[in-house]
Amino acid sequence: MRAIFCGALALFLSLCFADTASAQPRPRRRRPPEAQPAPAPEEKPEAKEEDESDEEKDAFLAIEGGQVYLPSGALVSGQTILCKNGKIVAVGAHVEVPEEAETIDATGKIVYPGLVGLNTRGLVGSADSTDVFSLNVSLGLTAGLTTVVAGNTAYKLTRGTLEGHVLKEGLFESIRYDTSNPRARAGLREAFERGQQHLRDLEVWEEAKKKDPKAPKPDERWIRGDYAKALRLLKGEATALADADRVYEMRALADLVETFDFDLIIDGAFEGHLMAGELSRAGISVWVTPRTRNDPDPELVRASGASIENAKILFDHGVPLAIRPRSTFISLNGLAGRDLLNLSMEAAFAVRGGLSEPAAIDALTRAPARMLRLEHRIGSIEVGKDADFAIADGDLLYYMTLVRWTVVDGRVVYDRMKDSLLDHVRPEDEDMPPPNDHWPRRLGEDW
Amino acid sequence: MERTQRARRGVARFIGLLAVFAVTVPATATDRPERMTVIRAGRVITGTGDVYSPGMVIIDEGKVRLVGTGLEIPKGARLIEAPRETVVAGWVHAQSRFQLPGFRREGSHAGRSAKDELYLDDIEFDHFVEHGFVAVAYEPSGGGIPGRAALVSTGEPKLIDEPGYLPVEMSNPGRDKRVFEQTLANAKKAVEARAKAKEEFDKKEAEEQKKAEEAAKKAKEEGKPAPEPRKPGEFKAPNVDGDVVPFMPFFEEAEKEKRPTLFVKLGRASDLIHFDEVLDEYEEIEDHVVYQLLPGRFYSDYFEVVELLGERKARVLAEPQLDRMPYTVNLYNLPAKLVAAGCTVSFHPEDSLSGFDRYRSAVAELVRTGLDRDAALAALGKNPAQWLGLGDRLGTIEKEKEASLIFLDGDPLDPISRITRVLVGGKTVWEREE
Repeated sequence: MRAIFCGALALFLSLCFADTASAQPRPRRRRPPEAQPAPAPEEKPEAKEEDESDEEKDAFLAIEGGQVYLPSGALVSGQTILCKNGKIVAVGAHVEVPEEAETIDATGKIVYPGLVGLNTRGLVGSADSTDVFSLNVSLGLTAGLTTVVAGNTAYKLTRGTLEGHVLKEGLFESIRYDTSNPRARAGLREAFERGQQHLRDLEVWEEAKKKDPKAPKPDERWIRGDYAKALRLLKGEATALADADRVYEMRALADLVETFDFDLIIDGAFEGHLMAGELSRAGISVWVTPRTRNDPDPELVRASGASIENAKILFDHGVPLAIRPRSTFISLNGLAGRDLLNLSMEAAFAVRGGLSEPAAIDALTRAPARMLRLEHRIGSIEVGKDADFAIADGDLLYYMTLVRWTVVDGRVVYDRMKDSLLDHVRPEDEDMPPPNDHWPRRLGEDW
Repeated sequence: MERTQRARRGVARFIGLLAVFAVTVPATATDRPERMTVIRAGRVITGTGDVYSPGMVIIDEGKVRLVGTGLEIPKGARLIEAPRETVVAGWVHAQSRFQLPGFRREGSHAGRSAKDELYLDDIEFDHFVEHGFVAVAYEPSGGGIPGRAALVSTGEPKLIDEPGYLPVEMSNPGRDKRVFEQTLANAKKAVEARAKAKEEFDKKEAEEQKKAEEAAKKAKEEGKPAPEPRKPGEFKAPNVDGDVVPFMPFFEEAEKEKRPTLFVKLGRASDLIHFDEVLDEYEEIEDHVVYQLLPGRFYSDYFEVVELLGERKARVLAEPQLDRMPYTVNLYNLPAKLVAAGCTVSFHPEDSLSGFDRYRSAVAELVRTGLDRDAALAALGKNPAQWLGLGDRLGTIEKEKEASLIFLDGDPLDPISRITRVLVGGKTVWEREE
């Protein structure tokens, strides 16, 4: 691997080549029709023959001329992103693009990393039952989503194929630690205590074994249910996920985390702005919905209730922050604008409350990727990561911006001009004639 | 009645033989006139690409002997005059549960068969006959792999002695994918276990044989009477679950002929992608798959996988209908697209009387909106017959095939033409009464 960094335009351009992205063999059948390479031009019969003989050919995708949202939060223009077999292999101004590469002319567009949808419902089923051609998958892609968390598993929205569909299983251990169920609360605490004692016992045993190889191993038969959950958390093998909104709930959780030292994500946290320092000190991550409105409790003397500044205050205190919409499914029947289709608007609302724009974009991409422990695969545009992009008409946080292309694993899975879901909205070319047919338009003229 | 007929046949055979031996005339259709039937029709569509107009079919002992124009009529042969009618080969209904009660069953039951629940007397096969179906495949009900289909000849209802296909439900992959994968894995394991057992047995047998020979040699040297020659042992294969047995030939080259056809039922385009995951692991089954595209309730999205099916020249079974694009009122002609992409298509009607009634006009509509006419005709008889393993008996009007024919008073794909007469095995089993 060789990397060249050179300064240009008084800013920075990064130009990297990587050969490390391993060429994944693509099974023949799982390749969906739209991912097939375009037929070679007829004047090159030799090249065509080669194409047919070499089935496991490298698939290249080049996104040229667009502004690229870099992990630092900077927008750099005139960049080319080259992807090979679903991984990013080069980002820069002078990237050599192979002839056979599929290209997207992103001039005037902004290339963002694919968005992460947390806690979704109805977009994907499971590894064995997802409808890879469903309308909801297409709708998710129109919003720029490329990765979604459903249940305890992270999925890619791999439209038309199951290859790479399941990203990671067993993401969280969900815990309940609220005042409404004191017995469960005591039980969880006890599980943590016993787990901690067990880990100490193991250490002692390791030491004892050095002297006496026959030293008895601590009993492990009791490790199941809550105990197994607590032990996984104590060992750092999983992240805990808990619902908590109010200060007293979060304070109890913060106390638990400080006592037992495990990774915790709090989902909700609309009163987080009242105890951001405590959350930060405990190293707790939060998922917030900036549009949550909750009036202060008049019976309380202390401050309470939601604030539009919640995300900003949490971020300023250094609390890792991911943004999710209020309702986490794609809905066309309910109140529009509150679901996953408008995920970026949720982040824009946080910006209205004072959060910086890069932080807001981060809260949709890199921050959740880190919370899912998938930052080595998704969440930012960097060499070696998965080629998941949301290529938007403009600033993602602007209310009129639409996603033009969505790319998952180096495949263009959504093209607004071909998929007629939103093709009647055409800010870029008003003179373009309206489409004369209906969804799905990708079929071409003769259908 | 039957006895006299048989007696007459015997006499005819005797006379025929005499004629052959007495005067060595070349064997022509005139040899045995009494048991022959000659059809003189306005048009004969053979299904092999030939159309004779006017056309003649000479039937001998229930089998087609000659097809053509201006053939010599054997003396004394029974003549069916149908100057205004079109004759085509009888149609085959490849997937039915007509007049059978449904029930739920999950998991793999490949060892069972629809024969177990099929009482031929309880089903009104006349309905099949008068709609032109000369053979029908009854399949067991349920998810997973419910069991083998049973093939029935409808004229004088009787089971056809031919192993039926195996339906494999895949329209609910979350439930059925693992069942299918597990069954295939078990079959593979069973074949391996059997091969291993056989190997051990052979080794042991060889040792025993050697021992016996040595003993015989020793006895001979010592001048003792030779011991009894050793009987070769009998190989006992390890027991296998009956639901796994039908899949075992897939993993054994020697049993290639016994490999069953799998009718994989898909409920939407995505199910094919799920099925392909199984196919990737078990490539052995690929050539034995018929994809059955179940109609969607409001629309279907099979257009997404037309290319994928075309690439592998898939065999596709579907109901003849114009499908609706998802969330629109736009119709598209899926069978036409499939045929154009390189698939072979068969049709089957919806399992009700109204479905039978609509069947031919539905196919006609598909032809009117772009389906290739020959492909449509093949989809009614030739293809399903082949897929059911009846390709050498039914499906086309050819020499040596069964004379199971349909007479229509117009073109078979004209919605207003009617079936006037149906022959099964050379016998008229149904005739329209005016």
